Amino acid sequence: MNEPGVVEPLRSARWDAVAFLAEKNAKDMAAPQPNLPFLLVAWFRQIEIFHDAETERIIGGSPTDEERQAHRQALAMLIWQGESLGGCLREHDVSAQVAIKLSDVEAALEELYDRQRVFYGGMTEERRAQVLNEVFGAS
Amino acid sequence: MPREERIEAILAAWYELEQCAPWEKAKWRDQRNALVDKEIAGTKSCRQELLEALGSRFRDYKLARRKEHQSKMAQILRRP
Repeated sequence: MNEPGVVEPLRSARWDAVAFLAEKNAKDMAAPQPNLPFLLVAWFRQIEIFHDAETERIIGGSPTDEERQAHRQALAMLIWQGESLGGCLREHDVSAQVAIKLSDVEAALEELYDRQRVFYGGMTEERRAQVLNEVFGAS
Repeated sequence: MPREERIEAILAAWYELEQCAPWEKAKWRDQRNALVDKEIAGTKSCRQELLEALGSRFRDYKLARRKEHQSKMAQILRRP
């Protein structure tokens, strides 16, 4: 229970949705005969919801430590699931059933890895300025 | 092209990569990477490093685009 006058920070319902979907998709992926087209669509929808939650709560809000942790875990889960889906797509061609190609999954994965570096990569301000000045010239 | 316009072009393509339909991901990834690769040509920086360096700018860009979208939606809703 909180101390008097201390308000429990509100956790966005979006993070709950992200966690729910991640868990559901993980179960579906572990099925003996997973439905690959369905899993692909569900994974991309999961990314979309994650993106909304990230923009609203992490970038545009004042995230709590719990939310930062939820963000980091959800991102790692998306990457892990994306790697698994990519592996399945290399073995099974589902292009007749869904318009999403292996190259789209690889591109989405690349973007998720970029995101992981942006949020948790640990580049120092000094290095950041150095890179930007080297590439674009001094501001 | 001035520095800010070159940065903005990368951020815009990166934003499209995040927002586009699943079947357009590869196309936008290639477009963003082509812009990044053009900028890092002849420098010691690699693609991942430049993207990480632009990360905080990209977050601001996403927020600005979101506000722009919300403002447009509000205008539409206010119309009689």
